Amino acid sequence: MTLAARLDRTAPTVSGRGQRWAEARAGSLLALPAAVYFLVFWVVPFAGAVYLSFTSYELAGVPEWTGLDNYRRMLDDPGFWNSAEVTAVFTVASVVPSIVLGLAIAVPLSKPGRLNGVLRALVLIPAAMPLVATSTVWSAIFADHGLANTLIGLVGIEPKPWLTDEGLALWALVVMTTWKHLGLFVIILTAGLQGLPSEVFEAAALDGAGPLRAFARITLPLLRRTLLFVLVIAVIGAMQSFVPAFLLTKGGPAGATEVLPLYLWATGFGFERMGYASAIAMVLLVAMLALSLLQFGVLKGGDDG
Amino acid sequence: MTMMTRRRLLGAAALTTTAGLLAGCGSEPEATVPADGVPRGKLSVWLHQTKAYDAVFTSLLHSYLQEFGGVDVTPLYVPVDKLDAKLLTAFAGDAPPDLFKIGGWTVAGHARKGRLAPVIPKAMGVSDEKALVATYDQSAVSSLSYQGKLYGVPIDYTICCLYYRRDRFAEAGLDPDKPPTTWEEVAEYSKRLTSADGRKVGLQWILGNPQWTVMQLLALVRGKGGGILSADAGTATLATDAGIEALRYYGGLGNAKLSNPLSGFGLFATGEAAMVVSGLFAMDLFPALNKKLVFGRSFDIAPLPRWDGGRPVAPAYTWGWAVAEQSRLQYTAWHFIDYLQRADVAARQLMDASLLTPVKGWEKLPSTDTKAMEIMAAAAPHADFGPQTPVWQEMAKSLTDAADAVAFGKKTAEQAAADFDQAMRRAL
Repeated sequence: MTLAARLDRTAPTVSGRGQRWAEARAGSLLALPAAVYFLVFWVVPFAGAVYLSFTSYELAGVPEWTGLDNYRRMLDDPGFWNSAEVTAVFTVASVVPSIVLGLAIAVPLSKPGRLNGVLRALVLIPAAMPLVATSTVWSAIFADHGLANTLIGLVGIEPKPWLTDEGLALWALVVMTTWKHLGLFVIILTAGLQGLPSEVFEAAALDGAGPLRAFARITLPLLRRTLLFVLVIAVIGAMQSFVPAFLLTKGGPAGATEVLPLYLWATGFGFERMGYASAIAMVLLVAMLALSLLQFGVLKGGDDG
Repeated sequence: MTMMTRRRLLGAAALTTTAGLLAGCGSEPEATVPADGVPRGKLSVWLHQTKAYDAVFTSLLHSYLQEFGGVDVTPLYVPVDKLDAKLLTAFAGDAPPDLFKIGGWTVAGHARKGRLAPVIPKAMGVSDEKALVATYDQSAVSSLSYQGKLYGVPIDYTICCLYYRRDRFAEAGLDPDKPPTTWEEVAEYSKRLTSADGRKVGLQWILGNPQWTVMQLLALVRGKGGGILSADAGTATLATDAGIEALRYYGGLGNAKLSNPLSGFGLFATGEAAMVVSGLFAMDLFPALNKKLVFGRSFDIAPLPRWDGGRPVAPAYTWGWAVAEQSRLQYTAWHFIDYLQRADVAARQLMDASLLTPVKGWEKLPSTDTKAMEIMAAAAPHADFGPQTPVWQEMAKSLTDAADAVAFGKKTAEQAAADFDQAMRRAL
């Protein structure tokens, strides 16, 4: 007996409906671990945070239902508004240069060539480094006698107190964050650029379009979906940024770097007002969702990817 | 694997789990005072790291274990700036250690939430709480009480004084043997000690640090006859003449933009700051930060200044030993604490680790820091532990925001004081 015949004899004989049912059951079983994980580590904590945001809970005893009090309190809390403003400035200031620089670097790096391959690997190094380690490195760079002051000293500028001047500290964090995330954005944009159809560019060249015109009229519109992806993850990442401010400035000086996640953390774990902290988290989530939807609305379309 | 084997495996797992659960439920909490009065059990202890104290603690631990064979102790050393957060996480997760070092300023907050066990006087060899309190400095021990109950015994006590750089004073033509005695003089001296570019200053505050902001402002506000909170800690009282004047003075001294990872402490060690307000621990800290600093030659200490014609105020704080309400070994925990707090141990701790346990008569304990001890002893009657409120962390953060805003010129003293009072209205 041939192998095929043997296999044919051992295969279960089920009708089409029965087979679909068996496949569905197998699929459900295979998906079960992921579903349980999602339920336990995402849905339940999220539902818990939503519930807590309507309560007064101080990490002891039982949460006490207070309705919308936490949300009303936010309107009247200068600490919250200061943090919201700092977060907005930090997000815009770190996302825009990250994407503009990322694109500027990705365009030449997307061209074929062995050197470009090496450069692409090098540019990804900061993104691969742990955030805590990079924050520590940057605290040394921004120190009084650190690299930042040495570099500006070369062009005759006086040393600056980067992390203790309330006018400079946020910008120091922006520089660090941009440096950290730039590599990842370059790689994503490079991949997007390499996926664009070459014949469109060849046709444009035949029609006499210069590189700048081709970039503005062809590359950018075709790259929309990649740009949308980068923009969404960049904005969400910036709005959730906690580690650099926590490690480099602790939110100071004078609240100049107290981003919303840091304020949320201090409210929850410093002041033990977990209900209020949950309400802040909900507002942050809604803001991120709204911004993401807005970005999808503005940048929808595009053919890349 | 056959079905039988699987069943056996599941059965074994279920049995193990049940046995574990039963074992957990079965461990009886220790009676408040065991009939035989003998401590026993396995204690977990959290304390913050200092090399000098570790040496004292470790030898005490060994001798205690030898003397009381039924006790085992597992210490965990936590960096000082992480201890509060680690304790809070442990309480929130229902897994606190049996006993731990705790900042006196956080006792009210934890006690209100039922996390701390009141002292068991019998475990500490005295008949009642009153007798126990009598063995300590009154003000230090009372800072570890909440609503009339004592939740800890004090260790690592300090009263703030003024540290100044003798070398900087001499450079500026000031007499290093005549440090300023009033806040007005401090401002005057600071003018002479400040360089034209502002990179060297006179007095530099410890900015951005809630605990030190409370102590620094406490001296200024209370000295003016005001307060940060009302006497019953029920309302904020910074937006008063005393509070606003204190904030204005605070914002007028030093250079907020001077940078050092250790804030004013670091700037004093480098010589950029000629004066700082600090505690006993700084006697060891400054020479550790800068090997060239020698006490009496390059730096010195003086009593904390007061306002001209004002009353003396000596901001103070203490750490304490406390026991978790959830501990099943409360008697043993307090018994071990009592062993750590004996008078002979207090003398050794002060000599070997510069750690002051405010036992009764601490002023006479022999110390290598004689001058600091004399200054602290003279200031002790005016020791002020600041507002004792369950929302201390929130109060201190809001006060730091207000003080820093004035120091950085972001707000006027009036605005900052009003913002503080408003923030406290929400918190209290």
